[in-house]
Amino acid sequence: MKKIDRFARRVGLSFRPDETRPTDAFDWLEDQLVEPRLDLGIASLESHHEILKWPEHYNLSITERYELSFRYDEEKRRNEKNKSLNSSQIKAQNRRWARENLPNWRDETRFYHRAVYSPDQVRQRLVHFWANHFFVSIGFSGEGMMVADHIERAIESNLDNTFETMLWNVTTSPAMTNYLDNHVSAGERSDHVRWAKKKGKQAGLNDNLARELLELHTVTPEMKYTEADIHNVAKVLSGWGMDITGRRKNLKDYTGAFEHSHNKKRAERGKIKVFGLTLGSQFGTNEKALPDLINYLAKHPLTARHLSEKLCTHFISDVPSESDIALVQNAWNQSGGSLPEVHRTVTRLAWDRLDHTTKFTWPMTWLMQAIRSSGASILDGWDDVHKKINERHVSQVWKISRELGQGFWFGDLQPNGFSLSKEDWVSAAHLERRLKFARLIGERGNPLIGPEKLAKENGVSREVLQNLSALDNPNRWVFLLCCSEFLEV
Amino acid sequence: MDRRTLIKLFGLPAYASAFGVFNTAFSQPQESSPVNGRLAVIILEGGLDGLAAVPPIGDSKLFDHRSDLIAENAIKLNSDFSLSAGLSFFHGLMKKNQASAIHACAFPYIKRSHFEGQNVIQTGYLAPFSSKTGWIGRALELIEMPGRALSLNQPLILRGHEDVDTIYPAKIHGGKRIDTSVLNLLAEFSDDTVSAELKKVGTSVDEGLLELPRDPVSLAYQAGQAMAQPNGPVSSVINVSGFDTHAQQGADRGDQHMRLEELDSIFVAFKKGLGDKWGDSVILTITEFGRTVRMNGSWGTDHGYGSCAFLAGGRVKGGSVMTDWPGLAKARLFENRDLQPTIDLRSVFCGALKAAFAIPHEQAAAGIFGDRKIPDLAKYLFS
Repeated sequence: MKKIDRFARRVGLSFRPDETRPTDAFDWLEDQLVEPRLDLGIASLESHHEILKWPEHYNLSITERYELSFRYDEEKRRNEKNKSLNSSQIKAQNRRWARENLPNWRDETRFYHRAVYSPDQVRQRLVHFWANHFFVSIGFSGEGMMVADHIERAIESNLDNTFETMLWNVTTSPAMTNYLDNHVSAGERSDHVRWAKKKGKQAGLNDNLARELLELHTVTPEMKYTEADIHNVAKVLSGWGMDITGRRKNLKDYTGAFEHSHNKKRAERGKIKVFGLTLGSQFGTNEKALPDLINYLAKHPLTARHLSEKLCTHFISDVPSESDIALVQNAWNQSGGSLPEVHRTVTRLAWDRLDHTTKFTWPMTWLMQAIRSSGASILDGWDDVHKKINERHVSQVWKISRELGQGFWFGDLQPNGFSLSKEDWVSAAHLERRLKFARLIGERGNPLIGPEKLAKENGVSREVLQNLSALDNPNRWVFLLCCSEFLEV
Repeated sequence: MDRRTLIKLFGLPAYASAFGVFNTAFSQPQESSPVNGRLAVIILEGGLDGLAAVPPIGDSKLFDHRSDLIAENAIKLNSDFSLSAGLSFFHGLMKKNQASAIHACAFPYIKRSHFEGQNVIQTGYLAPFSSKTGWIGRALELIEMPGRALSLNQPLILRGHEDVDTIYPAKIHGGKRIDTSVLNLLAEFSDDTVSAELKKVGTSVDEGLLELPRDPVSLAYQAGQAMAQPNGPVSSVINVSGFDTHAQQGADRGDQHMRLEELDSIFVAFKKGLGDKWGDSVILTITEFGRTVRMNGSWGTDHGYGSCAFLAGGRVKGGSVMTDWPGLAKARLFENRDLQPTIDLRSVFCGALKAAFAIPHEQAAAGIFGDRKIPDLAKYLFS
């Protein structure tokens, strides 16, 4: 395969049939790193040739999302009080309301559409990397409506910022605080726990977010922190996050915008000592403690090491060299964790190492590339999302995610996200899915170009080209999209 | 209930029993012991709360620590233990002496990380991320018999042996057919790893396995049927997630109860699928750690240490809760928060390998787990 095509597949999502190949890889990379966001997609599979901008009204703000969650809560309560409904009818009513009003399904469709139709392919791959690093698995419940906020606001909007800023936004994001139970955690000296003790009720800390903030998001167990450290970090975190599925009347308990809501009643009071820092306020709550802790963790050398290794593993090799990790780590340290500088370093390094390394593409990335480079249309348009017009084949993205076993609205993964290393997921069952999706593209996807042309434009080997011509049409697509040059780039 | 009472009740030796000197050579199992047993492992992902699954109702401290997490409708086994009502089929097996619960057990890993914990219980080695192979994979390599993963990914526990297929049929309407001729062609152009996996897809196509349902119960039933065949897989592994019950764990109802009901239905499916082969089988559950003895602030439990394991099958010495009960008094808890394990889960693993595959304890302990000091408890656990 041509080097520029391999590179686009390594750090991006491949060139669409109508895209011109760049002449200079680094110039293209620079453009890609600052490419503005553009939500392109299709309205319907019936008009798949018309690539349009996503309607603005599907792009909900966090306030609109919370407003919807309050309305959903009110709807559920109304249904529960309706004595003419039995329990299964109540569930059905709730489901119908959710399907008609919650944005989850369109959010995920927009996410896939961007990958297939929009020009900022490298930035999107960076978003995918960070969304996987800060994974939230809250699927299609009411909580699922905050996944898009988490990915687009907390992560993507901070790609041009420092890691510290992204970490602050992600740690306080409603999706994260709800996924890892922080919204129900209460400091041991908080007003809520004091009240609960008087009333004989249960209340206290939940250390779920504290544990993953240290282990997965920043310093890793290499830091050799103790259970007491985790406990103290949980105290710092207590009070942050508002229940996504909560009631409107509880709003009065929170201060700050929806993006970083803080509940003073649940917040730990007094000083908190952790990692040699004295955080919090002698007579107040912990509201100012978290930014200081985030600053400490974001700037810790083990965080830089952990993230540098993960970036190299994702974009360069399953087993990156120590010298490559050191180069990225150096960029991290010298720039104070400036993400554009770190991203520039790792993607340029991927180009430099391209001739000597390969990466087996993630299942999700492979499918996005297969659809994008062939110009096929197998994803529902935004008007199709709840229509039952495509029973013949899989076109709903939530079903596609489930099949692939990977996706950000897919609920069956753990907080460590999808593994970066192929040894954890290259299996017969995974390959079976690629074979079937490739056939679906060839049989029903109406690709914009033929397999031979795609093969030639990507510069695949002569052996692949020769064998391609001997196969019938759907099998040509299967052979091309599942040959090693497309699987492992 | 005190610790001494239980030791007497169940006749189990103390955890730190001394054992003899073992051979470290990684050799074939004794030829006189035919490998006709079967071993299925159910991974309970997230950290099973053993105190909720098999509540030690004879320990009065239980009620002090977590009164809101104790189920009222649990099945009373004796004055010391009850069993979650979600495990009613398993209870029936216990009554027939075909199942037991091993309580206060754990893999010797104390750092309470899911990801390290899931790694060590699958590699079988004490140090996290120290191996690319799993203990069942290494056992299958030793006995040269096939295995099967009932999941999209091949779990680490089965790696280390090539003859392991991965069955989790795709449901992609419109792209159903796989032409084996293109599979063969692709295999020619792929590296060894991908080529081997493509060939397994071809075998699954030929055997019609990709048209089957893929819910956990159906997968367990089909795996049981396959394991009952003379040339079928001798081991299979299935994953049940959702045991990380940090919030709203529930008691008689709730997340934990639902997961245990799912586990119970998987036991049903394995037994049904295995048919007569059930008599030669061992079904074993494993989990990365237990959970805190005390309830946390959100009606759940956090990461802990000691938990319980479930054993079922014709080769299990069933009918009871096997334990050396450590007690739940504050001074008895591990780091003043967790159930103190008294049984090394690796002893159960070694016993299962001996019962199913006739791998001698010494060989399993030293050769597969790299630790000759693992206590041999097989005679207490398996028939």
